[in-house]
Amino acid sequence: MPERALPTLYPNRCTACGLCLTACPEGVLALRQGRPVLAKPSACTYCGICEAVCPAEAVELYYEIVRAPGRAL
Amino acid sequence: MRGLAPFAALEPAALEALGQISALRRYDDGEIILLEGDAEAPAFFVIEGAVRVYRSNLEGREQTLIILRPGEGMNLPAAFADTSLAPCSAAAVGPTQALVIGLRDLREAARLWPSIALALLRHLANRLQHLTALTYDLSLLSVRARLARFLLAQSRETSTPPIRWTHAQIAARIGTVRVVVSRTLSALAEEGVLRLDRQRIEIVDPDALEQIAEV
Repeated sequence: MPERALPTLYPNRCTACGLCLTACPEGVLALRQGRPVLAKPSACTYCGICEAVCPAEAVELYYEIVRAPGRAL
Repeated sequence: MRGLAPFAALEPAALEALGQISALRRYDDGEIILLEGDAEAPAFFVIEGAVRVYRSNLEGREQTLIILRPGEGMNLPAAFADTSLAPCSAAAVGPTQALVIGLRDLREAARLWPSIALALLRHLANRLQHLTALTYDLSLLSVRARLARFLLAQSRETSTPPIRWTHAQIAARIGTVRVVVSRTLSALAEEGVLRLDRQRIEIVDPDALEQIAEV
């Protein structure tokens, strides 16, 4: 897991509809030659709105499931 | 072959017999290995990587039935049931290798070698227990309880590298839709049971989560 996670883009699934571009409150995403890119990755807050609006599952946010340190299960 | 959990205790001759009827196949991440309804698709045993076994409806909504790890098999019912149609679909999770055995060959091996038949019976019995538990979870537990059970189980996983999940994948696993998973996670975070980090779902109150999970 990288230090700072970013949305995973699947260009092959993307239909270039542009919904994620307009939905992202930070303007992180852009389309270049019909392909989605993270144009401003440092601004991404990992809020998940891009994933929620994408009808083609071309954006996905991944999470690890962990216990808090010191909390035995 | 001996590295496969179901066959670890087989005598050398039975292992050799299985080795002669099996072939190695490699799959890329996300590659479809098996499609529900496939006629005469072979049986598979995962060697490396992982395999998601699922059913889907006409709208494309999926229910994940199980994530198979190395040593676990799939499409075994097709070898012994009255119909040889594959009962579910399966896709590779990460680069995956599997041993493939034709259904007829597997049936014949089970007929000739009681130790193989018993190993397969044990494997199928374990799977039946898993599916019985899944049926209970899906039909008698709330989404909130199913999510809590899933989170507790995943937090005990020791895979390296750790498995990462999208909300959509969690939804397919616990029999709901992505938006319900997102909403329920947020509610559990507001209650102080979870902490939702940028890339982590952290369990901060396992006792409360166990109560929600009804365990």
